[in-house]
Amino acid sequence: MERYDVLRLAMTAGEIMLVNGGETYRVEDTIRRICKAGGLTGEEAFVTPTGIFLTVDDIKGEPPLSMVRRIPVRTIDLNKIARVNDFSRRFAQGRMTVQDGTEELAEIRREVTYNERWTLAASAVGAAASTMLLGGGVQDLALGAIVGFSTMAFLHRLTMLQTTHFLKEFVGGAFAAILALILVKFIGLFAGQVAFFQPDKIILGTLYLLVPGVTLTNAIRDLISGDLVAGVVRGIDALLVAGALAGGSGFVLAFWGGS
Amino acid sequence: MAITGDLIYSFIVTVAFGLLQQIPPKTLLSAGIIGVAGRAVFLIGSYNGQAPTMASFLGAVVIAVLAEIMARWQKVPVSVYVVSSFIPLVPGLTTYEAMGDFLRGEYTQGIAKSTQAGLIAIAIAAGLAVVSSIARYRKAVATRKINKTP
Repeated sequence: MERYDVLRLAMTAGEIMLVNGGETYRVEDTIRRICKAGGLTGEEAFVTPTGIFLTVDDIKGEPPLSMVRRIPVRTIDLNKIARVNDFSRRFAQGRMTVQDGTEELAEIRREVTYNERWTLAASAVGAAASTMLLGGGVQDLALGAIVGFSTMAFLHRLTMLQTTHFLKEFVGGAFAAILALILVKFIGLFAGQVAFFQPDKIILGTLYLLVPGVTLTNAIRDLISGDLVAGVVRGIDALLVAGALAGGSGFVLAFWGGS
Repeated sequence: MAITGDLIYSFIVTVAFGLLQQIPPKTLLSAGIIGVAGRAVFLIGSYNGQAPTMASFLGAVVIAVLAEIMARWQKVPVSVYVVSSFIPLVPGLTTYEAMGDFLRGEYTQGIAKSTQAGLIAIAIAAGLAVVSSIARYRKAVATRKINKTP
């Protein structure tokens, strides 16, 4: 078992966690646990939301090792956090070789918890339910589901939106607002009753699905565990995402005139 | 009747949001129940005349406590439960109305409403933070005991 193999394993585990939305202290703990179990002492891991710095310097005369990895894109997959967390605990018990560990991590990275069909179904149902939770009537239920489903399907398809930060949320808010307003107008033209529907509730039902819940929770947990840099950065991230959501829908509503 | 519907919708919203954040399949049901519990405490607080900020704070505390308990039971990170359970407490309607007021040029109304929404958000964050700092303290005490014994 080479020292750099262990280091690479620890780094990969940390990277999977951070990419999928793990808290800073949890990533640091995981790296520390794997390094200890692999026989590396004197490790220092510094984790920020955009990169991991990891150095091992034991005093036994071996030269120090270090590794830096940037995290350019982040997604959210909490099942992977739970899986890597579980993996690091099992690895720390010492019944696993580094080779096996690397293979298991590669498998965790590959697997998909819920495929697109599931997430789209969840967005339709979730948008309809949050429309109702906000006080929408039974007539808003179907429209809420349609708008939620279409917005999420649209955001899934357009990978171009991933290139710029906050563009996805802005476009999502704008798309939901346009679709809800057009649908209500359209139905109003045929049925002759526009006031029957509540477009505000329908739009908001879809926006609920895009709330930065993980970022916000992580910001709080990072701040109270003393990772001030990561906590503040994530707090601002959540604030900007919320601002982009409000900005996107507000932009459309302002053009439509009178909300 | 309205309350029953409210709780059912909270459950569906929590589970759907959890699914979108890809939480482990075995935790979907418990996350939904925690979301309902948080919303129920919020509603009870509101009916007994608490301000929305206080009711949200109490709801967030209940969510965080239940999440800590369930995380130990099902052996998954605490945040798995928290991220989706607090969604029914988010002050979405207030924020949205504030935005509408700003668009119409009614700035006084808009500032009042966005201040209220901001305070509710801070109350939720505080509720989560209080419980998780207590949990950290307990964990620190437990590890110190283990280190002392040998």
